[in-house]
Amino acid sequence: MAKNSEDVKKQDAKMWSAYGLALNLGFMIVTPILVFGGGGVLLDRYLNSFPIFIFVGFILSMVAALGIVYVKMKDIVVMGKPKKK
Amino acid sequence: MAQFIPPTLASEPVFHIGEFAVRNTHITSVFTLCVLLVIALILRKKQYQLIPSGVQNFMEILIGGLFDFFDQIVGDTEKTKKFFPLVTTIFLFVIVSNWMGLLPGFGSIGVWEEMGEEGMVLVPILRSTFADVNMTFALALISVTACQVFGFSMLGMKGYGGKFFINPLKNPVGSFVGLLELMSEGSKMISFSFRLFGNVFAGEVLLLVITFLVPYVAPLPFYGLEIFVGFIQALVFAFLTLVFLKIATTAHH
Repeated sequence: MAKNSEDVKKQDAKMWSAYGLALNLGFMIVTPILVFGGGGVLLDRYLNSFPIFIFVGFILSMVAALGIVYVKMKDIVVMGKPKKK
Repeated sequence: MAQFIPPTLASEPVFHIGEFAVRNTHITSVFTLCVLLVIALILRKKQYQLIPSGVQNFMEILIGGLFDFFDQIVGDTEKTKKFFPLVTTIFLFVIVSNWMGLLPGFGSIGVWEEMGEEGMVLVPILRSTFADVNMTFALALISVTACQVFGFSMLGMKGYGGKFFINPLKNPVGSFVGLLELMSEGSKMISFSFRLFGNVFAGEVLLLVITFLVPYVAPLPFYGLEIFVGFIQALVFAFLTLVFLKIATTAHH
């Protein structure tokens, strides 16, 4: 019974973490775009090489955004799993 | 017809102490702290009663309810006890600030000042604390720093630092994932500060527009909405801080 209630508690915690992730998902996608996209724009301005670095920044931001979402989803899934004995 | 003056995006300086500009959102935050301090002093003066009544009863319901809710999110009572003081302080500070911003006189009582091209502008003496992105960013900084401090203290330098910094020669994919983790820490600050600022500022503008269009009765439902939004935003900020604290103190598998 006690084990069961502990499992329910863990399951609830997993659900809340998933909500937290969902609330933050948009910003997780936006941040790499700001970093790499903005970096690309600045580099292009500095080196006068438009549109090479904007394009490279765009590709990098897409990869990074996908990567962040994947890593965070994995974290949530791992958190909910029971510990191995 | 009266002229509609939209609230400015940045908070306005009301007076200066030397070089330091005291802004209207700063004054409100000091008021908020005073309110919280007075409640704490009242509770302290009344002493702890075994059979609670009045303010103690209310506070026990509030604190007990928050603890149960946070424990449900964390899923580990020992961790909840460690995070509880910080997260509850954030929750109470944000909710009291948000609700204080709805009181009469906030945004409406001020001094007329000459502002260059704009001419005479009303500078409100009091303004909702989190209608200023500096305040939300400061709170976000506290929250994200707390995540790092708790992460290091509970997992150790190697355990927590190992989430971000992995030798690229040994594990190139892991190294890239670590960089992504580091970047997501930055996204936390952006999400915290802009979510709260956006909601509070939008509420302030909404109330001002409705009051300007129909001054009587019509703004009442919107005030109700803002009371709800103030509560939800405080809860979301505290909840997200708790989730990030939990994730920061969970070892990587």
